[in-house]
Parts: sequence; C-alpha cells; structure tokens
Amino acid sequence: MKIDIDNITMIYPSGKKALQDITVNFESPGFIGILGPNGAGKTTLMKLLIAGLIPTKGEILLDGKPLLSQETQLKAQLGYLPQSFGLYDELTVWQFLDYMAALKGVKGRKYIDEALERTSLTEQKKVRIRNLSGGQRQRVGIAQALLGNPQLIILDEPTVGLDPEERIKFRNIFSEMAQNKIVLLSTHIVEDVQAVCNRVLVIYGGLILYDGSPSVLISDAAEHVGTYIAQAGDPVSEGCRVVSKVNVSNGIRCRIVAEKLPKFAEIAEPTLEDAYLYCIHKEGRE
Amino acid sequence: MRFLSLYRVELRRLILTKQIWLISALCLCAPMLGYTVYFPVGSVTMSALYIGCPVLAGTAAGSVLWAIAAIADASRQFRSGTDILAASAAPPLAHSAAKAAALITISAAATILCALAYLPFTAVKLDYLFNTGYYFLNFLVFMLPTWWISILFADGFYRITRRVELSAVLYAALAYMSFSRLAQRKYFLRWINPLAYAYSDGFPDIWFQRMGAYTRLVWLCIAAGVWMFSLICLRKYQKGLAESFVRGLKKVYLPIGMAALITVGAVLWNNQLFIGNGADDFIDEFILDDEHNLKLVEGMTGVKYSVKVDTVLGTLSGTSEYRIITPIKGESVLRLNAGYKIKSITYGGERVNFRTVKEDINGQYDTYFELPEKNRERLIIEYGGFPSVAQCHMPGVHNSIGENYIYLEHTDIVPLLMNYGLDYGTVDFEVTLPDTLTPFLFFEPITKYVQNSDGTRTYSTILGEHYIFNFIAGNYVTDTFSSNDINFRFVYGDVYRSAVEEYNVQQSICDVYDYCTEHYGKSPHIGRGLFTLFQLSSMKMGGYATQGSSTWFEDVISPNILSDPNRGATATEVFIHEMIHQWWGGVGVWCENDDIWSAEGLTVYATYRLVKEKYGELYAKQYYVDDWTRAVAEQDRNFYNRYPEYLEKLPEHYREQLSASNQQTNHYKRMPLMILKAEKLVGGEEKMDEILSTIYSDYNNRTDQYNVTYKDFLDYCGLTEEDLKLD
Repeated sequence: MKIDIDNITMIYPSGKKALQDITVNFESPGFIGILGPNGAGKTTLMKLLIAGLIPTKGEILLDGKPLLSQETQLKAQLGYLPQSFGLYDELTVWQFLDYMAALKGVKGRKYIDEALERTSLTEQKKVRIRNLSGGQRQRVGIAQALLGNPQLIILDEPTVGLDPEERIKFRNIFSEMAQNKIVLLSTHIVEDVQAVCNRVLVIYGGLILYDGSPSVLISDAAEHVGTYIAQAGDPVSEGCRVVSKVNVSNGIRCRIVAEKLPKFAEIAEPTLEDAYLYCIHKEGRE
Repeated sequence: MRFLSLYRVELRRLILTKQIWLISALCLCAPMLGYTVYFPVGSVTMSALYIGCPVLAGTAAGSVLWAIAAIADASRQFRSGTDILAASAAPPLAHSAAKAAALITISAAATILCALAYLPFTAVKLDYLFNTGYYFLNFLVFMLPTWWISILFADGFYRITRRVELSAVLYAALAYMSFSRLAQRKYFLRWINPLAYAYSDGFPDIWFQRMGAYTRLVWLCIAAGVWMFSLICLRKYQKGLAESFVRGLKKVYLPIGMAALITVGAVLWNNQLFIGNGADDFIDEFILDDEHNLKLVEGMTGVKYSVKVDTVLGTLSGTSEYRIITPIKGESVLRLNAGYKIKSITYGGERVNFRTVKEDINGQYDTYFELPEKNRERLIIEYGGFPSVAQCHMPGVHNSIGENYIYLEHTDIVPLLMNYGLDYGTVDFEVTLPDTLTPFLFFEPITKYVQNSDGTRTYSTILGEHYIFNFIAGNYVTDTFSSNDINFRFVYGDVYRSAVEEYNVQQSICDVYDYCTEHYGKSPHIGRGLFTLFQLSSMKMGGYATQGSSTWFEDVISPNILSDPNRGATATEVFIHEMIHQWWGGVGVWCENDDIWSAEGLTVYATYRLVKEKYGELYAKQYYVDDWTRAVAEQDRNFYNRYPEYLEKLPEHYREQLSASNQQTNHYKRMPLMILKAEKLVGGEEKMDEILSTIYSDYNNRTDQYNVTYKDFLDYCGLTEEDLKLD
C-alpha cells in the first residue's frame, strides 16, 4: 500500500487553517509516529487519510488513485481508532466487535477472537460495554481497529487511559503489526514513538517541521540540550526553552533546549522528547 | 451484497436494543386504544369494534411510536459517538439504507406479532362472523405500510435536519395534517389514520381496504421520495446541509429515484378512482338538468342493458343498446359514474364522436354526442371501469363492487340518456356475476339465469322502467312469512340466520305491521299484499324505505347491539323504527322538514308507543322518555344555545356542528317529547291515536303532492306552538 499526500491545504469553514501545503507519502511497511502539540493538525491529517474530510487544496492518492474514488477499497483495508469515540453500551464486547466486523465486511469469528486476545479482552467478551472501565473501553476501541488484519492502521491517541503496563504492551502489538502494514500513530507520549516508530512526523501549526527517522531527529538535537542548577525565582535565559525541572538538594535541575546553550549549562544526551521540542523551538515556533 | 451484510448486522443490533423491544411492546398494546378511547369507524358491527377500531388505533399510535424509534435510532449513533467508527468502516449511504431497512423489518415483525396476539380474542368475540383472511388483510393493508411510511418520514426528517427536535416538529406537523379539518373531506391526506368508516360482518366488503392499500401506496412513494431526498442530504466530509446536498446530487441515481418516487405518488394521487372530485354537498340533479336546458324527447322503443361485474378487480363493464325511432336534433347527453370510461358509441354500426365533460357532479360525468339525423335505429354504448364514490356521499360508501357484496345505483350500472324522457319501451336487463352472489334489482330477486362455465351466472329480467334505482348482490337468504293479510319477504345476510332466529326478528316485523295498521290504518303501499324488508351492508350507511319495501342497515342486527341491555332503544327497535317509516315518512306520510318538525318525530313517537305496548311502561320510559328528556335538557344547557349572540364568535365549522347536532336532537328527541306533551293535552294516548289516524287517512286521500307541516299537526290537535313548548 502506498499513500501520497500531495501539497494539501485544509481550511475549515470557520476560516481556521489546519494544514498548509503538506506533502508527504507513506508506504508499507512503516510505523510512523506523528508528534505535535494540540491544534497542530494531527487529527485533521488523520481525518483526511480516512476520507472523513476533503482537502481544500491538493490531493491524496491511494496506490496512485485519488483517495475519494477509492473510499470503498480504503475502508476495506482501514483500522481506525479516533481520539474520541462512542460504543453501543447495551452490547457486549463480543457483540460490538461482531457488529464492527460486519460493518467492515470482515467475516469469521477468528478475527474477533484474535482482536480480543490481542487486547486482553477475552475474559470480558461477554461483559456489556456499559460495565467496562475507561481503559477497557479504550481497549475495545483498539480491538475494533485491529479487526480483519487491516493494511492501514490509523491510531489517534490510542494509549490514553491505559496503565503503563498496558501502554507498553500495546505499543509492542502495534510494532508487530507494522511489519507489513502502514501504522500511523498520533500521540502526545513521545516515549511511545521513540520506542517503536521507524519514522517521525513533527507537525506544528499545520506544517510538517520534520519528517524522518527518530535517530536523525535526535542527532540533530545533539549539543542543543543541556542541564544546569538554578535557584527558585531565577529567570530562564533568553533563547532557551525549559524541557523539565527537577528539585535536587542544591536547587532545581533544569533541562533546556536552545539553538545556542548558555555557557553555564552542561551538555546532555538528547532524548526524542528533547529533539521534538528542539525541533519546534528551532523553527522559532515557541 | 454490501447492503445485505450491513442490513443483517443492523437487524441484529436492533434486536439487541432495549428501546426497540419497548417500542414493539407498546405497539402490541396500541390496538387496545381502539377498544377504549379511539373509535375511528362509524359503524358498530362486530368487525368494526373488534377489527376496524383496534387495527386503526394500532396503526395511528404505532406510527408515532415507530417515528420515535426511527428518530431515536438515527440520532443515537451521533449522540453516542459511534458514527465516527461506523463511518470509517462502512459506506454511509449503504449503511443508512441498511439501518432504515432493518427498522422497517422489525416493524413488519411487530405487525405480524400484533395480528397474532389479537387473533384469539377477536376470533372468540366475532365467533361465527370471524373471517381469518379479512382479519389479516386489515393489518396488512393499514398497519404494516403506515408504520413503514412513518419510519421513512421520521428517519428522512432526521437525516435532513440532523436535529431531534426539528425532525420531531416536522413529523408532528405532518401527523397533524392527517387529523386536521382539511383531511376530514380530503381523505387522501389521511396518511396516519386511513379512512375506514364502515365494516360489515355479513357482507365483508373491501372497498375501504382497496382505498387504504392505494393511499398507502401513494404515501409510501412520497415517504420513500422524502427519504431518498434525505440520502442526498447525507452529511459527509463534515460538510453542512447545502454542500452535502450539492455533493449528494452527483450520485445521479438518488435525485432520479427521488423524483421518480414523488412523481409516481403524485400521479397515483391525481388519478385515483375511489372518490369523485365533485362538491362536498349533493347538487340537486333536477336543477342541474334545467341548467343544461335539456329537452325531454320521446323516441325510444326499447333498450337492452348487458352488464358484467368483475368482483375481484371491483370493476364493471357494460353495453347499452337503444332502439331509437327518432333521434333528437342537436346534442344528446348521457350521464355515467365518474369512474367509468365510455369505450365507444356507435349508431347504426358507425362510430359516433363524443366528448366527456369531466366536471364531477354527484359522482357523475356527462358525455355529449350528436346523432346523425338519418334514422339508423341502434345506438350502442360501451363503457366500463371502477365505479367511484361521489365526494358528497363520503365517508359512508354509496356504491361498491366486492367479492361478497355489490351495491350499485343509477348511473353506477347503466348510462342515463338525459334527452329521451322516461318511456324507454321494453327494457331488458342482463347481468353476469359470480354464482356465489344472489342479485336483487329494486329489492326484487332476479331468478332467471344461465349458468356459465367460468363460475358465473348471467341473470336476466325485464324492467318496468329504464331508471335503475338500485342493484344489490350478496350472500343473502330470504324468509317469507305472513301476518294477518300481509306476506313479508325478509332478505338478510346468510351469517345472520341464527341471530334472526334468536332475537325473533320476524315477530318484531309482524308487531309493527299489526300495531301501525290497527292504530293508523292500512298502508296503501303495504296493502298490495307483499312487503319486502331488505338488509343492506353497513357500507351503505343508514336505512330507508321505498314503495313496498324497507331497508335496514346491518348494524341493527349486529350481535354487539342486540345483546347489549343498555341499548334497549337502539337494538331491534331501530329496526322497528325503520319499518314504521312505511307509515310516517319514507313511503308513508310525507312531512315538511324544518329545524324542529319532520317525519322522524312521529316515527320515534310511534316506536315508543309500540315498545311501551310490547315491553311495558317502565322500559319505554327508561329508554325513550328519559332519554329524550336528558338530551333536550343537555341541548338547553348548552352555552351557545342559551346565548346565541356568542355563536358568531365561533368558527364556522363549530357553528355547523352545533346546528347539525341541534337539528338531530330536535327531530329525534325534542319533537317526540312535544308529541308526548300534546298527547297529554289532547286527552291521552287513545285520543292522540285518533288524531294521527285522521292525519294518515286525510293524507292518503289527497291527490296532490303535500307534506304535512307542524302547523297542520297543531291544528289537528287543536293546540298552539306555545302549548307544546317544553319547560
């Protein structure tokens, strides 16, 4: 499968420009992490990819053909987990997955059983959805996205509401699935992306600031991440952005990113989160 | 294939939804409203009470319930947020169609359950009158499609507006139209409460079911059209209504389908054959003829009418062959039921051009043609079609052709040639119909027939005149019996055989004859030696009397009425009432008809006297005098009758209703009470009997056309209007 996004711009009727002249392509296999703050345009991009929106300008091609003319084919190969979604509360987990499988045209109980097993819901399969916890509901959402072994999986904040152990489990599952598919993972949890994605998109203000491997993003941030001990009330040096603050015995250990580190700062090994924040900082966005 | 799999999954989801079970359960209960609070059927036969009312109540109430279900279900996925998941998995168009189809299937299952649930109770209640096919037909024709229509409208409105409250308001407005004053005469507007004004036990007629099926078809087309429109408006890509609509138009099969459905609905509506499009009120034909300035010309030596009736399709085809000695100059006019079409007119074997003026007057069209002056003798008119009912005769059906019953009058049977006077010479009448039906012409049985190989019989007779008053056929039995010097022919539906015996109806007939002959004198009409009493289907509302015969409507002998002790005055006594019209009103003494006075007062009074003699004073007081007194007191208590100056402030239809109600009370309750007062003032019952006997005798001795007035009555009694004023 191949998706080509060609110079698309998305402007909502309210006038808000969500995406601006974006050009990017995805090809299987690939596990792409999409990073960006709230309102950056991540969800808009995902909706465009599932044919939930029409771009104001530009075109999306699925295997070389316009996406809108390939809606049926797209939906047959799509597993989508939106950021917020609802479930039919009166149905049991199994009945809901059966319903979604039928909507997708997925035939066979084995796909449902497989999705239940992958999401650790086998024991809850006869429990009505109204009786599930928030995390379990999220797992049902993930399970429906995995139904039928889809070739394109789009996950918008999939690990919200999951405990750390489940989060690790799921990102490993997503990683396994990406062996021969396209998996797009939009998340605020940079650690998830760092752990499993082989490609990262950094979106900010409707623009793609970075498209490449996480390691390159990290290496780009080398010598731009530092730490120093500050006292309470000390101002942040100009041109620096504080990534984290930790209270230590002799003050507050501040971790900063900057185009040019202040002399008193000690250079630190960058993480993906540092690199992401540096990327945004570098482009003068923050 | 995709639709079918989506349909199956939606069906399964709905079956697992509690609200759907609740709606279905309520729909199962809805027909009970027809037993208790909602009585849309005018007749009180057992079929009306235990099939018509519950089915129609269930139809209307269930429609609203299914609309609620449709709006709730359509909005549910948006409220719950499942729409996002569903939209990513299935094509919205096919999914929407599958959802509606699934709900429609559930409603169909609910209809079947409803019919089965009430089957045992209805079968027990109707007993020997129960007809399984007829029972299910009513559910199939009224309930099932109306629920579907309701779902399509509600689902469509929601998909167009995407607002629960707006779609509910639109649906409520549409439902209101169905019950509005406008729909009281424009029966096709009644989409949620189909018209079925009468149900017959003895002669199950499907006229209303035919019209019900037709109107359901019309509304199904319209509702499906609206629903198709809603698919065009289906929101996609987070677009608003206008943009979605424009985008939806690109799927050309949607606008084409919508336009086709609405066009078919409109064409069906416009070309309906059931009800004529004439005036609501009857137009006096004589005045009409005068307006046409028609000349009555003699010149006919004989006519042969050949009529064939198709009871399955409800149609009639006929050929009228006239032998004309002298064709009139200028245009001839023939009048025929507005539902029929003239196929051809030939004169001496040559086709004659004609033009039909499609102005419906009392359910009839006039056709004009000109005969060549050269005498060719034989004028042949071929015609046929589905007889429509005049608007002025609705909602009680005047004429109909069904498998169990046929009632046709005048131009429903043969064309009426307006220019050729009354003397048609020898008139041969021939009719072909199924051999299960017994035909009557002018209430006389047609006995001469030829059995055909296709299960029909061709009956023939010679008529005394060309104007056919009525033609009736049904599953009739005829009893003959005598009382003193008179022979009675009592014709009624075969199913009523046991009721006639159980309630001793023959004895009631003899009682009326004996009582009236003794108290008022012998009827000059009955005196001919044979008197026919003829039961009409409840489809023909009311009873009436003609020379030598009296009809009575079916409900009078309904087990429901005959076994109800609270209806003493309206059970067999209604039957007695109709027969008394042989003396007062009908073919008896004609009375001037005004707001207070009519023959009904004398008839009701005579019924009371007979009942008093037969059942005792207490019974007569309870069911007659007390009833009259109560009704009159209620009328006098009415605010607008006490303060008529406020009447003007009422809308016209309320004024009309009050006026009609007042006249009914005056004729049937106040006047008998006034005659009762007169009876006391003149010196008692014997004296009143003498006065009435004198009126009757004097009237019959008159040679001129005369109607007895209230003043005449007062003069005979030696009283004034003031004397008979009620306190």
